[in-house]
Amino acid sequence: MEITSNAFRERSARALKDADLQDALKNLKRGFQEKRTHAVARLPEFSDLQDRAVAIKDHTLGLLDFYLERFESKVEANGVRVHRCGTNEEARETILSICKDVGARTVVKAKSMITEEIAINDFLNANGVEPVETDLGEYIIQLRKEPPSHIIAPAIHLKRGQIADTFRQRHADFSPDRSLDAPRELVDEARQIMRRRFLSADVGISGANLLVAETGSVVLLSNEGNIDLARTLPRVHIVIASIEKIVPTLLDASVILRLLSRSATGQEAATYTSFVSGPRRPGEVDGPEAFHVLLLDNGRSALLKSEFEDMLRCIRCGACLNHCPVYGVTGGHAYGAVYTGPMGAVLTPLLEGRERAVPLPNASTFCGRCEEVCPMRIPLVSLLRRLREGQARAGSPPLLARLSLGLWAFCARRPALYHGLARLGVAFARRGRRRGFLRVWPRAGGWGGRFPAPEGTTFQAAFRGQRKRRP
Amino acid sequence: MTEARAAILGRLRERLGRPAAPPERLRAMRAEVDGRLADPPVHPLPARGRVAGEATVALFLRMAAEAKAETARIASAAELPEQVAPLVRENRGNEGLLATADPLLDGLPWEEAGIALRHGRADEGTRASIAVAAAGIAETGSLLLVATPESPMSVHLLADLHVVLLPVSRLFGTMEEALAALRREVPGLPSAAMFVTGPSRTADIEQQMQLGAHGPKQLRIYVSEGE
Ligand code: SF4
Repeated sequence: MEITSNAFRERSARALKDADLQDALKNLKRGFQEKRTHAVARLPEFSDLQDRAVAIKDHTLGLLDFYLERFESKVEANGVRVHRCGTNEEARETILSICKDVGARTVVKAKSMITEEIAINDFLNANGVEPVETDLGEYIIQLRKEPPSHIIAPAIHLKRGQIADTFRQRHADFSPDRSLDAPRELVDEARQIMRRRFLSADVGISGANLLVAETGSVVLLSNEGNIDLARTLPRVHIVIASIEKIVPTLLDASVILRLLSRSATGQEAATYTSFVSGPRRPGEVDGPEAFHVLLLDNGRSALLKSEFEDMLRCIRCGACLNHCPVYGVTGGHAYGAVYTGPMGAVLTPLLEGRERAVPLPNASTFCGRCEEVCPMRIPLVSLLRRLREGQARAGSPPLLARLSLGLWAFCARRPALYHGLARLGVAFARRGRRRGFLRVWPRAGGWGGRFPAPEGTTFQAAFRGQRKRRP
Repeated sequence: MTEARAAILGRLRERLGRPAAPPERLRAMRAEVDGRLADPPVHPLPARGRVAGEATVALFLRMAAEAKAETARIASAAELPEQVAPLVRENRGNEGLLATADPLLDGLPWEEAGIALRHGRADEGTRASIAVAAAGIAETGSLLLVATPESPMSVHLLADLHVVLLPVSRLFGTMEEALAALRREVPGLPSAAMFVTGPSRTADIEQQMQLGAHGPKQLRIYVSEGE
């Protein structure tokens, strides 16, 4: 997609006035936050697993050149063609040439952020190959010609009525009088359409959640089953993954899988977790006959051994988006980028260029909730701060000051938002009350990491309460 | 593409400081990687999955039900035709039951129960299917389904009603144990191994869960005592 992050302020101002969007974003709390909290509480070992997962990733990143070679030789031994792509253009060209070689007319796609990153859909369309998104959320936004607004729930910004309108406009084969009021009816209609697409497509494209060097396997997670259908039915399958997805062994992958579903959707396990190790074997009657794996760099290698290396641990769970007070009121489109929320505010400037995403490192209240829920313990707040320091060093302080002050002023001018954020701060602070102090308080470094937990509520709420009690 | 290939590896090595590293240091790193791959470190397994005997079955049934699978216990696979017949008949019309070719299913009296059993891959008309799990995982209530010539993956994905037989002897506490057992049988893993936890679902419309997004709407698991 075209990166329009520099318009963050205008877009977020518009987002705040969009009643449908504000309504839709309320589902974040019910849908994600509560479920995640519950799932994490049920696994007492969660924090130990986080430590393990961080160690696994750091170990792998430190030896990534060796692990990349090991993964490649394993996956080639499994009968897979490996393509290394340095840039988005190379990845697009490679995918197109695979499609052309087999005379493909349609491609079924499983939801994958990396295919958004390389903007494959427009490219295929322009070259006579029709890409069909199969994840329900992705399919809906493809029909609406919108980018995803969330890395795991791409259509979270929409209400069912908007989706029904889109289906009525775009599904000409169906009766115009049909009922589309219930989510069930919408799901069934999409299911019916997608069946034919899966069965008639020539090529399937998916991303990867993990790549396992030990066995040359690609690990794929989905709830809908669309990834496995897109992999099983077409005669050619293409996996595209960035190089930092590699983990050494299946046992290492298992550790990360225990964190991923719980952090993403609060599930104990994704409905489908597949370990795919190549094309169909002799005697098998389905599965792709040809299997390609594209390994994409696009800026990852430059982050190794840099002050932003921690970001390469990201497993794209979306927890930081789901708990971010800024994302919670602006939604994803305001970020004007593929990756949104706190992880997107870090990744977009790093992958797309600092100058193309100037406001994003400032699109944060620095409340620290993202770090707190990140299963891979990525210090998102510090990374954002480093990006801001970089901007200051690059010599745009007036612009910078304008932007960060601007965000505060922007919130302060909108009482509902301001109070929401302030309440959030209080809720965060209150949790420390039982202990009497907060162990982690953002920017309380000078207090030895402990900060007396504030009592009470926000000033505004107290003020209102006072007034009500008066005769 | 060979140029791009070399370029990425070159960039990685550059960033990781390899050009300046002494050869013995590089050899040591390679040995570390190969050592870890040959003899993978074992991570502690969550307490929940460390169960045995009847507790394993109980945990599996509880977690599978939580994931919206339907579960039932049977004494042996021989009970299947009678159990499954009404499901297939009532809900799915009369086009028969697509099955993986498995000795546990093949000899059963399907015809007597009024069911035409078919083999092969699934297609658009497939409404009901039956398979035998390679393993079950109690920790999450998951089934392990594996691609083989006898067991095409589409059988598990295209039907509305998916029935799976899980012999108790194949039930493990954790995914790690199930994968280890699989690797003892198929060194290097099959072309596809899929853990299934409940029926297909989506929450893409207003975060409300709907079963049967693209895959099965109904997953019914029979846990049998004997093989
Ligand atoms: S930064 Fe952390 S919380 Fe955010 S998507 Fe990545 S892993 Fe998940």
